[in-house]
Amino acid sequence: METSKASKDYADFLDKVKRTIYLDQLSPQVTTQVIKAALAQCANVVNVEFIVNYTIPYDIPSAALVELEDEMQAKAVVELTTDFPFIIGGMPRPVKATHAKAEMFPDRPPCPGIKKDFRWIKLGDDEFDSMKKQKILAKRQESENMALIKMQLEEEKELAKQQQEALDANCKKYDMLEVVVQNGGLRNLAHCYGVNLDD
Amino acid sequence: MMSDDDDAAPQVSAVEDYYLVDSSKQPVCFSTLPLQDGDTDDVPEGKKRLVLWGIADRIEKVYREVVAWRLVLEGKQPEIAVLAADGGGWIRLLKPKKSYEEEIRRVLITAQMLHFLRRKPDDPEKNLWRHLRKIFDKFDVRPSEDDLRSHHSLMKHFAEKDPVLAKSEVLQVFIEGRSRKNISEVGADNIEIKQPFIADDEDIDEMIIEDANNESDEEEDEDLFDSICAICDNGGDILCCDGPCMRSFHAKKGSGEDSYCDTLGYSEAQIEAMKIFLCKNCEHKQHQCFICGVLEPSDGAAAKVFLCNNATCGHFYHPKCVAKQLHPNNRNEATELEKKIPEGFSFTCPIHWCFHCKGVEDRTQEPLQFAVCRRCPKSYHRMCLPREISFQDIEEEDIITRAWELSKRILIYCLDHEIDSEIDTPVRDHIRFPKTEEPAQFLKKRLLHKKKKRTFSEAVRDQPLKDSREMMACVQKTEQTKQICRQVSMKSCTENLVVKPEKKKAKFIKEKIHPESHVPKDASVSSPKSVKEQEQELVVLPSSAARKIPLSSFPTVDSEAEKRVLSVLGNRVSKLTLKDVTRKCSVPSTHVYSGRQTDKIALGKIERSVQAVGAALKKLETGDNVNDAKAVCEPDVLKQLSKWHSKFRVYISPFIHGTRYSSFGRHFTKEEKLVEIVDKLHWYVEPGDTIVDFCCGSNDFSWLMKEKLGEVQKKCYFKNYDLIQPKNHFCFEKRDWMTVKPNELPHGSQLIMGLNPPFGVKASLANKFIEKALSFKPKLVVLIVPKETKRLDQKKTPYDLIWEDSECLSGKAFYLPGSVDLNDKTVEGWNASAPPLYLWSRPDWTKKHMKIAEEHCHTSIGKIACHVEEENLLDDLLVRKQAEATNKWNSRSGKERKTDRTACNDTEANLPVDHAAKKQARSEERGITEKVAARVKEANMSDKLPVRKQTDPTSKAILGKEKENERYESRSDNRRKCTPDHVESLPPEKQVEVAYEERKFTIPRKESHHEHRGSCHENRRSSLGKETKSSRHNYEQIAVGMPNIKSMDGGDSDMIISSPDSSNARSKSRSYSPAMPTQVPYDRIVHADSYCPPKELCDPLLNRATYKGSCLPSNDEYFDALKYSDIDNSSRMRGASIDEVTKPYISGPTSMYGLQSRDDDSLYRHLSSDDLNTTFGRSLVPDVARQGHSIRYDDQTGGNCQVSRIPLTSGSQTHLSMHGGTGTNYLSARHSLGSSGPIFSQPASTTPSFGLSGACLQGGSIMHKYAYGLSGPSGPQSSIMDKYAPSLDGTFNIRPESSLPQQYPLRRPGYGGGWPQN
Repeated sequence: METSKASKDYADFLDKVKRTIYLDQLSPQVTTQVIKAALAQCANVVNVEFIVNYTIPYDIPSAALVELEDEMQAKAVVELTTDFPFIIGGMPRPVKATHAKAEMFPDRPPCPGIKKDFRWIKLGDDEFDSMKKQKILAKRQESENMALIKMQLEEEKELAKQQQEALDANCKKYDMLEVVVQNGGLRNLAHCYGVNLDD
Repeated sequence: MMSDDDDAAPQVSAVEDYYLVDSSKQPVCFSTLPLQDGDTDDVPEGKKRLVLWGIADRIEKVYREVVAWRLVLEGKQPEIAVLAADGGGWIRLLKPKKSYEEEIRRVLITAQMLHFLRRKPDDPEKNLWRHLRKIFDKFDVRPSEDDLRSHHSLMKHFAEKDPVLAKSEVLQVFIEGRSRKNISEVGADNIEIKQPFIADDEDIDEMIIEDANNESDEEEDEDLFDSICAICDNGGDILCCDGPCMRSFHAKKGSGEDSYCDTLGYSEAQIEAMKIFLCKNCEHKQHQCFICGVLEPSDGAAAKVFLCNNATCGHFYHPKCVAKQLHPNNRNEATELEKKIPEGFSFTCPIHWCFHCKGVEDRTQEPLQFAVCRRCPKSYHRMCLPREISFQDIEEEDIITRAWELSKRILIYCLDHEIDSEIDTPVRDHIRFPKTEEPAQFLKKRLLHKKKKRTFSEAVRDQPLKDSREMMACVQKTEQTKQICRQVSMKSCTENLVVKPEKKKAKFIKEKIHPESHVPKDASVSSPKSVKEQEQELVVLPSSAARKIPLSSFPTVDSEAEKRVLSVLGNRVSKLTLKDVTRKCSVPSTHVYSGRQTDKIALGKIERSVQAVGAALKKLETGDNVNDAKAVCEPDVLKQLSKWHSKFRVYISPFIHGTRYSSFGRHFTKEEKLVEIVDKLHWYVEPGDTIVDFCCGSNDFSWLMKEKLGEVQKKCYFKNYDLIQPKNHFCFEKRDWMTVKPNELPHGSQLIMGLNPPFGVKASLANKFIEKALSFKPKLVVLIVPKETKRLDQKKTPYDLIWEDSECLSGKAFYLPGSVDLNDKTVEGWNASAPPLYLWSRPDWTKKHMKIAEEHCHTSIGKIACHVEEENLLDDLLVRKQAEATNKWNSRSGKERKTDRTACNDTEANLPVDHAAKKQARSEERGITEKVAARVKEANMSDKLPVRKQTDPTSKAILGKEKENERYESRSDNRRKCTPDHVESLPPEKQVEVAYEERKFTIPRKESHHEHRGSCHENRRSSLGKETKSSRHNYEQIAVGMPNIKSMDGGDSDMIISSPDSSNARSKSRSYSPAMPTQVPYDRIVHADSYCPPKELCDPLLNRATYKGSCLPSNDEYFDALKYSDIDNSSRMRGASIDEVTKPYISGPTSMYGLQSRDDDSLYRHLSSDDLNTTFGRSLVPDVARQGHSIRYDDQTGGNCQVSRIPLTSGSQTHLSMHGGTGTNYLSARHSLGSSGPIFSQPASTTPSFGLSGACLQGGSIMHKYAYGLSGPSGPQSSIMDKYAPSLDGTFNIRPESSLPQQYPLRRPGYGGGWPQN
């Protein structure tokens, strides 16, 4: 009885996983409503769950698990974001959507049929060496991950600076033009010359 | 990699069916590899490698890395071979793979050409072409000069190497045709080689394909400005200086090869990194006098050379030099001018008048086009050009080519300059850059340099020394060294070795002085690495360089790990090319991203043009004739400016509307509108038809249609296309409409097509979609497209219009999917001018459809548009009337109310004055304005005056009049019709799309408001005249003007900023609110002037004090809040009184105002104004609000006074629309960005005497921008926000006010003189 319920739960959960997408690189300003609206073009959002990024002690735009109505919609959204740079909530950058995986859910039900078992491994146990290796690997990966994130941040900063510069420059140009257009100087002079600016 | 296999691979001598790919697997021509000579099998050092794929011995597949290629002409056929990287020797290339042929076509043609010429060096050119065409007959494109041109260097190489070819005249012609200014007519067979002026590098070719549309604009712009390299006077891949000199340079190493240009020696990555490029002259503000060539400071008090005031001219002059040339026969005038120039007198240099006839240039008429010398300020009309300056060499008369045709200009070297026969230009010693740590290395003799590089492998080591020597020599520019240079260059082509010692001797001393400074630079420049690799290095480097700066909150990263990551990253990065990335980022064809080209519009050009407009106006106003003004600012400059303006507008708008830009600018038709359409359309549908929605969006239409047709028992088929999967999968196919093939859809007589395509700029996309739709020959096309779309009855196979309904989609007919406003509701599209709904029929069906249309009375509707708008206006008028009646102020429009409110402390006697003045202004204005505009005005007046006359009108009476007026207006003028809905905000995404439309409508509006302003100025002057005390002298006048504005600003901003207790909040709201900026420029432009009198009377003393106060803070770079406080007080005093007046407005009508106040914030379609919070929220830029200010903001929303702002705002807005509009939608949007700072600072910077430091305002603007999240692209955006958040509180309440009063007086002087003339 209990196992059947558990397996049913798990099957439900897997269904949910299928219609859920994982949205990454969201800007911090994005809210549930914004996501709903943005995706409304191709899907109905059932539930949005923002994921706190525990892997880094650093404030990075978070990701979210977005549950949609059905698998088809999930597919549509993923396609949309892979085909085009899809931007949610403004400028920062295009978001990425992938199909969610079961491991992404913090509250997933236990998988029936798999029994988890914990114990300490002591020096001299058979698995000790491989465990040790894994531990080192994990540490190493963590530090590499950190380095990668750091580099990414730096590059992003650089890029943002560049873009800002370009934008500032363009803004400045535009303002200059705007002034002469707004104060009528342009039109006035064109009138004097008998030139028609409209064509 | 493949090299593993290669080791074992047998020797391969020849391959068939071959092709070459680069590291990104793209096929590339082998000619991109270095060309290697003859028989050596040595693998060269170069890093560039390609992979050769092919078949050897008919069966064996081959792939090899290859590093070089060679061409052997000796055999019966030209033989091309590539050198294997693994030392496997040369591999002959036999027959290319079919798909690869196109890639290498040009080099094959060149090879064949060389081969032919080598065998028959004396054959005429005709034979060559016959031969080539025979060989390459399988190609679609016949071989032409173009093909040869792209392998010019190859030709040159063989011409030098091969004695037979060296003698071939034909080859010489090809080579020369290339190296010369391109445009000459080739002598021999009189075959015209029409070369584009812009050298077609391969890179540029690509760009042109990409930006085909933009390019045409771009070229025009280049015609107007100097678009050839300042160093070598040839075109090509050039970079324009953003500084005042506006010169262009071959900046990239190797870019000006054909003209032996030395270039500025930047690498591609360096150029990429430069957002604003300043040449060394502009960077150090030292320029050369264009007459005497001496390098002098050009800026500040120490300035010795001054810039010509022509918009397109970047030449500097010594006052003495230019005065002498401007007044050659009148020493007195010359001395006078010489004295005046350093004092700031602007002058136009002699280059803008014909040397011969002293006339001005007219680019539109060929004989009057100019031939301009590149070395000195001398120009001739085409018709005045002396015979000695010839387009071609005339040997018997010893005339050498001195002139080359540009598109609308001629480029000459006048007779004062001796042409160097080697480089075909005068000696290139004309440019000197200020001495800096980086040497201006191109000053050496480039020819020499070039040849050396080619012949000596040790050139790398040798070059630096030589360069420095030469440069120094040129800097010295004594006659003697010049002479030597020339001799040297002559010899250099034959005997380089001899030259060298000679040069050494000549510059020995100088070399000793500065030898070392030049070495490092040159070493790096001539390093063997390719540009691409350097670029890659650069990509990686910043991150590794920045590593040393740890982030405070970031955990320390151990360097080992980092190195590992870096190495992995490095590998990946090297494989990643920009092409891959851009390919991934392709945007649906339904969404065009325009404005990529804006980066290329140089800042200096804009700046100068804008200044020149001012200077030209000044000239006119001081009584000079139009020609003088034209010499300063030619008419084309104006056109260019307006072109730029619209370009930038399109480009900038996504940044302004950033937060809402989530949906590729799609707009969907609302369902209720679709129901209406379906209702109408279903009559025309016959059972069995297929209904195609080519851009279905949410796919509602076909669904609704199906339901409807189901009701009437018609069975039809549906087909829906879009790029983005909708929720509703009904008959949907995810396809780009452009890719749908004719056989995929049923026969045309069963097709009904259409609906709402994306519009695109100038409806370009809509046209594309329609064009595609018509290729299916549908019997019926139903369309929602903007008016400027090409009508179907003007197409090649014309369709007949069954009906057209311009009313159906007016108002809120669209919504923007994927967008939310502050209240999490989808943003609705309040369309600019409603796109009509059309029903077009194929001619053979027209009769039938017409009959149906008549049966159901479809034809009768919708011809007269804008009912909705009228009603809107009516509504708001009514409301306003009521409000005004309550106050017993009879003014009609919002601005008047403002004034009245400001003046309400004073006597009512102000009003008559005001009105009289206005009347006067109006009548004048009517004289000036175009007829149509006048009619609008009249319409305004006609309702305005009577209303005003009635002292206590009942709202009913006014209502009646308004109605009348409305009707009149909408009948009288089509433009009038458009303006209200235009002001009625565009959805920003649409704004991009409907840019054209917008332009169309803004122009009349601007015109009228400009007229209006002119008249207002009159008015203002007259009113000032009455104020005897204030018109004593100019400054006084300004001072008074300032208080006026101050008071008005007080008044206006009170209206915005209103009550004292929450002034903080209010000023914030002001800087955030799009509403306010619309008002401000608007006030500034129109009403500031016409309404000063009452305000002046209102409180001159107080205001004058205020002025003094406000001066201080504005001179301060960081506005001092304390100093400012007294100003604030004054405005508060005013504010309080105004509040009393404004309060009554709040009560009832706010919800009604919703309708017309929509225009004040283009951002908000959503307007449930029944709730004040919402209305208020409307005036917030949503992103800002969302970024955390909303909370703070909301707290203040409760303030009565803020609420009181709303009716006021809307009032003024309405006024906008009543007058045919003033503040453009765009403007308001622009302002919503918060950069009122930069906008206001512009006038300030043009008249700096007022001490307003433009820089500080600029700074402010940046802050504004930050505040608005324009730093968007950066990831950690919020941190920036936070950083600036405090300053928002502090600075914002000050800045708007203090910058405003500043700005008015600044404008005044120009005003005082400028406008009455018109």
